[in-house]
Amino acid sequence: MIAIRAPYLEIAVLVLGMAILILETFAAKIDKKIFAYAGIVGLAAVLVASFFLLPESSIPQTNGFWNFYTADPLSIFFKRFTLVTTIVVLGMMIDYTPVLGSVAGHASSNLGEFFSLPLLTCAGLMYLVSAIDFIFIFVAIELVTISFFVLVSFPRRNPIALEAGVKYLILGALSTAFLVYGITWIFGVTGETNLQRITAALSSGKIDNYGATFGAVLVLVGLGFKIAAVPFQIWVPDVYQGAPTPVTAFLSVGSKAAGFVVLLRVLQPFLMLPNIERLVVLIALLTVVYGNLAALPQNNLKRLLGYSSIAHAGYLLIGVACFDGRAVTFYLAAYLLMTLLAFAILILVAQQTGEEISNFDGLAKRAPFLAFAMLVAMASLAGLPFTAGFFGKFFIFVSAVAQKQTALVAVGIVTVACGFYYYLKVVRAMYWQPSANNNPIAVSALSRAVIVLLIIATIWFGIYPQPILRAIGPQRQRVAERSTISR
Amino acid sequence: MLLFLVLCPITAAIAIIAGAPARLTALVAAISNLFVTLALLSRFDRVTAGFQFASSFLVSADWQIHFAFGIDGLSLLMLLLATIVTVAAVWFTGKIDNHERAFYACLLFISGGAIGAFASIDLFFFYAFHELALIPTFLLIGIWGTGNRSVAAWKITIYLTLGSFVLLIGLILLYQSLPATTRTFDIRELQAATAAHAIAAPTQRHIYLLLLIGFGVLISLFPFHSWAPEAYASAPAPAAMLHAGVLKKFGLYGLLRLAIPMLPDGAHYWMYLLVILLLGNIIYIGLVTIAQKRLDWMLGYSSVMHMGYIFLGIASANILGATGAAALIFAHGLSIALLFAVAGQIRNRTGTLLFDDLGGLAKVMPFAGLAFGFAAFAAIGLPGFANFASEILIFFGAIRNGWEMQRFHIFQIATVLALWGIVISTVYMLRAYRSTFMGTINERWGKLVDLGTGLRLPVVLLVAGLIWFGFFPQTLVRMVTPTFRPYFTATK
Amino acid sequence: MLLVVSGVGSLIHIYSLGYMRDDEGKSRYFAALSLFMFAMLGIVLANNFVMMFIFWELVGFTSYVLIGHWFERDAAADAAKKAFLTTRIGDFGFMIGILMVWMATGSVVFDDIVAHLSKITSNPGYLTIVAILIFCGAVGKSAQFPLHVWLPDAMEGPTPVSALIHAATMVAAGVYLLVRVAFLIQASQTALLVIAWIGTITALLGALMATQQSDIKRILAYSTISQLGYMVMAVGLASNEAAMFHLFTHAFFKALLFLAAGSVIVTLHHEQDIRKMGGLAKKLRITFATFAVGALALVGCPPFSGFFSKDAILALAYERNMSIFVIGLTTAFLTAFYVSRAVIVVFLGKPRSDAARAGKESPLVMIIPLLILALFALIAGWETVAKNFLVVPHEKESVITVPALALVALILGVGIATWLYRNRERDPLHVDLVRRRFYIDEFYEWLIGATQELLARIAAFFDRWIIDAGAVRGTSGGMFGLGAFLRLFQVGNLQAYAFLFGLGIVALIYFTIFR
Repeated sequence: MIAIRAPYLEIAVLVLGMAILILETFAAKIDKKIFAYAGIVGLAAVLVASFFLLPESSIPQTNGFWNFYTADPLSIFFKRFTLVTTIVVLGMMIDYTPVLGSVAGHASSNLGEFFSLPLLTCAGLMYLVSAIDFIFIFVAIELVTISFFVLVSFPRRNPIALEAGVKYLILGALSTAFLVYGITWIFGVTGETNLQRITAALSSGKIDNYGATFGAVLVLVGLGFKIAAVPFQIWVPDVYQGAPTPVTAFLSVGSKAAGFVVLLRVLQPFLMLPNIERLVVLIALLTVVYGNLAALPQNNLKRLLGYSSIAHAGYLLIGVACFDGRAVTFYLAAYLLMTLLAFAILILVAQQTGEEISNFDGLAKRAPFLAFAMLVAMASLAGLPFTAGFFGKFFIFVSAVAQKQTALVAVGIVTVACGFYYYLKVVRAMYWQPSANNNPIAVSALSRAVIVLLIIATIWFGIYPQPILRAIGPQRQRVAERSTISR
Repeated sequence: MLLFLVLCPITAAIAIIAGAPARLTALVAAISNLFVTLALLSRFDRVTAGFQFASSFLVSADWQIHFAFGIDGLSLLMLLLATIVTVAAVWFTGKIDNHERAFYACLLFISGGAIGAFASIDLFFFYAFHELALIPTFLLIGIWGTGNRSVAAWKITIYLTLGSFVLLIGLILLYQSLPATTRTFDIRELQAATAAHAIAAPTQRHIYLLLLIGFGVLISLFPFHSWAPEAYASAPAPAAMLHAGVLKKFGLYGLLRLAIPMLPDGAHYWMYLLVILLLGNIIYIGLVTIAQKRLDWMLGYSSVMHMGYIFLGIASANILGATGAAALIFAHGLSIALLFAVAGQIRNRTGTLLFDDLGGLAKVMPFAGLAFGFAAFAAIGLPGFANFASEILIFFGAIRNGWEMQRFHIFQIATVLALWGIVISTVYMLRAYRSTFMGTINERWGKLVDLGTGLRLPVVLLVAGLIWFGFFPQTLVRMVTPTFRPYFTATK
Repeated sequence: MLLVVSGVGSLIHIYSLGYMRDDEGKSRYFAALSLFMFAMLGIVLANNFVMMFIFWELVGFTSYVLIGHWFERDAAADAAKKAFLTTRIGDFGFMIGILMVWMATGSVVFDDIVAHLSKITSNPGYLTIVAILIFCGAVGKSAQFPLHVWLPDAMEGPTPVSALIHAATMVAAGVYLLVRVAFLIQASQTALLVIAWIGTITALLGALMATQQSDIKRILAYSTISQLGYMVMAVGLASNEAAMFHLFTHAFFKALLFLAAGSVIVTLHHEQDIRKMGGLAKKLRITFATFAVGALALVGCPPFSGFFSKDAILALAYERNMSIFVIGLTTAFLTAFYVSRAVIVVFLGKPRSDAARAGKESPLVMIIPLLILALFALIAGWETVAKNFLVVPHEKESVITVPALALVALILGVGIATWLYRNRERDPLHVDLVRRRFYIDEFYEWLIGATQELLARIAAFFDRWIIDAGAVRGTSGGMFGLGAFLRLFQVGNLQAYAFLFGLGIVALIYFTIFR
């Protein structure tokens, strides 16, 4: 049996990304889509390799690398998660190239970059989910942010994309600044940057609580930006709408998932501090309310999906506030399936008509397969049983009820009902409204295969969630104990 | 066998979406389901309590969720109702102009959802199967409905979603009321556990209230009833038949299956509230029904009103009342299905259901008049139909509750008011029948065609069910009583 | 009772063969008629309350079908609805009474209840309420005041139906019920008093209203109400035998009167207004003769059956309650009055319309039942005949006074009627109050409008606008409004975003650290 050490996975991805980048400069004449396919194949190989890893305990924790990098089951799961996301995103990018060609305004000679950047982002995300040291977290976040910045503003002749990119950059930089500031405060108070050692320091009780809390809040600011929590979600609608759709999907799924992993890790020490728990509950409440309510009047599907991602961040935060990492992880897995499915279909439909919900009118007649796929995606996003999305919400609610978080549960129920409205708005457009034109939409074989797979996965895990649960970890992992310090 | 029952309509629906001939597949699926249910009925053991024909597949070991099915007397009755009404609903579907396949697929999904919910003995899938019917209902009302269908579709969907999620929280609390090591979603184990050690009283009260509100919204308990009349008025007739006749009963089934047996303290605590609300259903909604000027709205409100009687049976928490409630679920389902079916046929032929426009239709549509007449008189509790037998059981069960000769108790008042509700229902039903079928006929309707031979079969099916259990209610009672015997005394 | 039902029932079936010969809905009619017989016999044979109630309702249902037989006529449709609804109201009380009996004794079977009677009688208030509630059922079904309003309207049905249901059997069911549960009723003096007085009032009212009617069937209908009042009066005076006796005789002569009237109506091509009749005695000899027999029985002329049964009741009243006796006697006077009026106007004098001039006798199939019924109307009162069917009540010592007074009333009534109506073209009496049936129908309509309809409209308004528009749509509108409001924050301006960002941070820090 081959057994690989975990860090080689990221290295492989990095090498692949850079290789494509280099090859791109030299191969101006060939069809750039080859690079995308190469990327997919390479990533698939890495994904397969991830099943042959050395178990963590057998690796001696001698050298300093393991002080800031971990290969625990959570990180392995999310590495695979990120790889799958990137594969699907690359597939979507292939479908998106015609649009990009018309909007980018430049020759297709730069498309190779477009295909290689996700790989670099992927590596960054993979590092992020394994990071257990603040410095490393910061470095990984920077890698991810900068790659995303380039991706978002890739169609550089399109002012909307550029504006989105600028907003992302500025606000991202702002949040990262706070992140760094917070890290320095924590370092100042505890003298450590490694999360485990910080936990030890905080529980020893010999440190200044106010200082640590201040630092913690600032760190959460930085993380809050990434996961689109209120009040740091202000960039989401504009950036999601302006960016190229595959990038939006990537942002929505990959960046959010990685952000949550870091959040889960970071809260381990933080929850020992007073008031942090209350803070998380408050943010969860605000986020879930904001995301769902603001989505109600939306008519642009891409923007709607932006608000909906805020809403989902809210639900995830409920799970975080209830110390249930497993629920959060399952929800993220389901979120991957349904969001990517929705975006994949959006790309295909938007090419023909546009991104407004009204562009989906009568889709059931024009393209029944896509309409059905969208129906499944919307149902799962809303939280209808027999879809993975329902199990996600179910687990979150179970832990919320177990923790007796009445406010979160009550608000959660109301917002879920709101969610049904705007998700079913799309269903309504597809099935009730008459369509303007009757041209069928062409779907490539690869896309069709991907969509079918996503549909099957969504429904399968809606009935039988066990495989994912097993993959997450052998037994329930609590994020942290409740705050031991009196308030 | 149960697995076939549940999966048959769902697979048929998928087959139809994939391209099978719509009406044929749907009819075959519905009729075979009916035969399977009758077969189950014949092989069912009436004496033993507990679930029979059980099967179970583990879905999640951590959470102890199983894909499990089983039936006892109560669920068998529900399944019988569901399969009969499905056959009738599918048969009554006329010609569909657009998306014919989707229509039948949606009907079958609703049917499958209801059957799955009734047959399920795992709490999670009990809930999940019911939700399966949510989007098909949304589509049915929105695409093929009449009148203000958009508003109606939104209202029913969002309202029911809210109710469902409240219900979900209640179910989660129920699940968590067991000690952590023995937690399971299996209803059998929950029943055994709560019988052995009752849940703490305060917890019971919370859970029961949540279940009451959650199920109540699904059953259109006053004041959570606003979604029902508009939805039923706007829905195409087969959808209304299935929803009012079968799907709404899910909530009542849930209360009978879960809330009363497992939460006796909670039920006792909230009894007064329930009685007041159900009186709202009977009297208040009854009055509203009288004021209606259209047949479809009247039928919608009347279906809300009759839920009050079933609630009375549930609230009385003794064997007579509970059995009566179960029987009335069945009887009402059949009668309202028939009423909606005939109303839908009239709407198809005349385009209007305003009482002022109609009149004297029995002259040109005698069979329709007969069918509607049967259904109407069944609904108002004429002896000879199953509704009367069940209502009698409910009244006898309710009136005895807590009586001492010198004092009055809320149940006695409630029963008297409920009986007055029968008079109210007579008022509006007879008025409707008079305005629609009797009297001078408008010249416009001189050329109407009666229900053809094809449609007479489902009518006969529904009426036969009503009359059979009307004349032989013992078959029904004997089937259902073993379910309740462990939990109730004959009267309190 | 069984014999009455099946006997009169079969005669009417035969009669209907002729009457309904040309009707389109013949099969529907006979089906319902048979169902009615089924239900009626069920009432008679039931041995417990629930069974009786079941057949009670079924009788109401079949009567609905039969009254509304010619359903295309608005009047018939409305009459059927009114009948069913009014009797249902009575059944409401009946059911509560049954439930209360069950609550106290634990059984609904008559014999069991008798055995456990002490459980109810120990509480006199409870007993009275139960008795009155059960009486409610009879009030509805036997058209007692105040639920009598359906019976006259029910004349919209075919005449054989009126004869069977509304003369002989169904309306008698109420009396039958009271007799059957006499063990309950006679235990409560208050209940008996109430029953007696309601019967008396009904008798008086019915007779009064009959004096001014111009539709022959309606005259008979009000007469039925009045005679039923007598029966109920008898029950209230605690003599089941007298009540059943009068029921027995009344079945024959009233059915006879209706069928004879039907004969007249059919001959005159469905003309029912007595003002358009007249002089038919010569043309419809047998009909006239049989009608006269029935009339004589109705007014209580010896030796016809009605004399004996009515006399029994009057004697009872004389003995037990003088005021009731006086009213009963007055009613007898009125009965004689309106019956004579009817006979004179319909059969004597000159024909007042073409149809009347052209009238001829009815076919045999209709005549034979008339003759048979006439025979019974004559002999049914004689003790030798009656004692084969029921217990004949025996009168007490005041053997002469009561019959004498009754005969006086009879002669007075016939005399005044003859003086007023013989050889007149128009009706000399015109009392609006009575003609409009004391405005009871109008009062009910107003009452229903003021209570039920008003409440219904209020409830509907409340539901549509307060619950639906207010609560439900208001909530969803509120959500939407909030959403639109939140959307306003997305101004698109980067500096504004950064500002909001910072604001959020400050708020969080404040919340976490300083609170």
